[in-house]
Amino acid sequence: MIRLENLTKRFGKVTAVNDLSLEVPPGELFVFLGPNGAGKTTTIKLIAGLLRPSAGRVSLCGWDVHTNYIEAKSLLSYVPDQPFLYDKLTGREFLQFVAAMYGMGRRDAEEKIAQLADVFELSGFLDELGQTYSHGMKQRVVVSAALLHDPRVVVIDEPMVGLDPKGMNTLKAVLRELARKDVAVFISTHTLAVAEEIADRVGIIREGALIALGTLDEIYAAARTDRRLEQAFLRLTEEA
Amino acid sequence: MHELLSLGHARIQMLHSAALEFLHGSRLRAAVVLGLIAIFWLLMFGMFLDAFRFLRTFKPIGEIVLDYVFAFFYLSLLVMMTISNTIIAYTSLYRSEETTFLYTLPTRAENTFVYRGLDSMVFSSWGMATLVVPMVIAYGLTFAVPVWFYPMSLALAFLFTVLAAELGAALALVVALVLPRRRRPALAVSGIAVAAALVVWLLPLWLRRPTNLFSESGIKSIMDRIAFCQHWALPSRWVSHGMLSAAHDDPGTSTFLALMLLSNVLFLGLVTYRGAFYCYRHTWETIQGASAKRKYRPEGLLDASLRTALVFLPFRLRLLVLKDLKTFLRDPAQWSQFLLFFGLLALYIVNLPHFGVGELAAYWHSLIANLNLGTTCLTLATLTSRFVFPQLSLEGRRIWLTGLVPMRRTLILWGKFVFAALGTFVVSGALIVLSDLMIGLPAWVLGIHLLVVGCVCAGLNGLAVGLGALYPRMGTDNPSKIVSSFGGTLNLICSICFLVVAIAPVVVPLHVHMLGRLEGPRFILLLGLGVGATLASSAVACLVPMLAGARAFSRMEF
Repeated sequence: MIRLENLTKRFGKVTAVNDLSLEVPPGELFVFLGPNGAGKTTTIKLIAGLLRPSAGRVSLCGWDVHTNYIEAKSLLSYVPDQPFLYDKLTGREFLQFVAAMYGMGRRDAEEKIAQLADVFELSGFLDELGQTYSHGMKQRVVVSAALLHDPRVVVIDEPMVGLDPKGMNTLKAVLRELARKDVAVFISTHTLAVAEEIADRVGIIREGALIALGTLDEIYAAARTDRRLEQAFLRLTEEA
Repeated sequence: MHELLSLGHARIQMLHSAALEFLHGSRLRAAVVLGLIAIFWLLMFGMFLDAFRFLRTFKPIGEIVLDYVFAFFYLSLLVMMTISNTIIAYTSLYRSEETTFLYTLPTRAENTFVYRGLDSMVFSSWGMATLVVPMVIAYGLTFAVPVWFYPMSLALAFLFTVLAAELGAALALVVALVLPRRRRPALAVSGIAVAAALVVWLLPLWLRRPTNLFSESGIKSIMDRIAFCQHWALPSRWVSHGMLSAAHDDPGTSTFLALMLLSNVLFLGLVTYRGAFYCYRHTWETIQGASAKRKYRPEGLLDASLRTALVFLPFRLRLLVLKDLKTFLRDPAQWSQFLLFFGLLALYIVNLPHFGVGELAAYWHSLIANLNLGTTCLTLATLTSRFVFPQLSLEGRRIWLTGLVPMRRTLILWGKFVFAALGTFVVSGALIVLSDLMIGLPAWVLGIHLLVVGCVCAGLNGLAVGLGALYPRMGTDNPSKIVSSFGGTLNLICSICFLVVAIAPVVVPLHVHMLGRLEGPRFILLLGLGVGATLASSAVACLVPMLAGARAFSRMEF
């Protein structure tokens, strides 16, 4: 599970995240929404341990991401909005490297890579260098790398960017499957249709503060709109 | 350990892929690059061999001078390598995408530090091998040294390289600890320290009476000025003295100094590793969290004055030039290197009168002025290869923007040329004017030198912009990768060859004339032919690549 307790992050005089408290239990698919510059990516980086909070704390399955970062990161998978791959490694070598860094045995890694290559249809390009991949290919490899070690917490920033409709469909199915297996999934996106389709719960952030939190029905009720997330999002972010 | 092995394994796989890609790519390209490396290495070897043979003729003073030269050489290397290692280690440890990625994995911060530190050591110190190996071999062949001199000298140089890398990594940690919190005071203190060091170094030079550099007292005064590099506590002294002891078949001293270096490498390695254990993660997080936001005035004084100064350019071209200029001025990595190179040159030129240049014969006046011209142009060639060549490639994913501007694409390329040529001419022309005034050359020589610099600026920038469009590398935002590509290497080689062709035809008759051996109509004819050759070679160096580059850019598909 992901627990944010009174999380605050300041960059100089600017407060990017302001006293944010939130809990994403195991098996929940949580979608984080907000206008540009609202503090979504900062929150995600705080959860991934890439930024140190100015105040408050983040814990993953009980491990503080700063004081017990090795334990916390062993349970976490983070997919950034800009996928990182080594240009001079093939997709397979990259996946093997990530598996080794998570302490997976060679045999287990090979089995898992084969399985993920099948799910994300990587086989056609997995033995080519990363430098030749399109954005969508990179995204598929990076998501596969994130799922190699059976994480308990998955954090994804803009998961659908660059994916074709089939890739999006596969990823949505994989994310639902992860939630079914009691993984806490935290997604940040601007694609409201995806949020409507897969979210168990939605959080909306504006100027670093959480302005709405709940299931889709609770969000619609709070925004006093019909069943359209776009309308609810606009009303809530403009009213706040 | 497991983490470091996995990281090392991945790095070997990457190097293997890069080597295969290089060898299986264009054969011609591989042959050209390997051939150029071999030529460069042989040139270095020949230069060292010549220098050592020259010094051998001055017995016994040659040996004493060599002792000073080696100590000064290694101390300069220590300073340069430490600075280079600090900059590269800082970028690699705190600013690289790979490091961010490694932080998302369950990797210990100190292991990431070791891995990235080793990476930056190789990146910033490979030049040491290019420099030291031919020097050691040339020295060995000249002075008939024992066979064990070679492995001992290379071992000393290797330990020295590691020590400089550790020092750089440690300094990068210190910078990361201090800079984000106290940016302004830290920069102010560093600036004051550098200025104070320069004053302390130069003050005795300014106060003393100028003496002839090539007299006995002149040489003694130079040796006195660099005597500090013989201090026993300097690692550079351990290498130079260890190497010379090996050459004199003194294994005791040589081994002692090698062990001294080794113990310092191990000690500093341990201290740096422990420092990384305590500080690296903390400093990395602080730097990621530091705000880089800064507000710029929409139409500042600089914008307005540049807009007016460039009024002779067509409107859209002016906008492109202004865009490039702003990008340059807002990127400290770019302007600071220009400032460093040309600042050092300016410092040297301003101090010329204090070296007693005025007392020297016309031969030396001419030689020093021509060497200054050559050095300025060579520095310019390095900088155009480093900054102007990658300009178009660096547009990268933004190229559609400039590519879709409603104007001929060739004009965009000419815009980049105009910006680079004007900018480099202002700086290098000012240096040459300063140099010739300090030496006291007549105005007509100054005019000719200025003409040569103008031609060189046009030629070098034409080559860099034109070849940059002919051999673009759009896929990367890393200028080093673009510069080290085939096109970048070709540009550097062409630039150096062009310098020889453009400068020699003017400088040779001028020099012979200053010696009093070429006068009257014959001199005027030869000088006229030389100026013609410079103009013609510059026109070729500028127009041929620019036209070819413009054609390639017009046909480029985004």
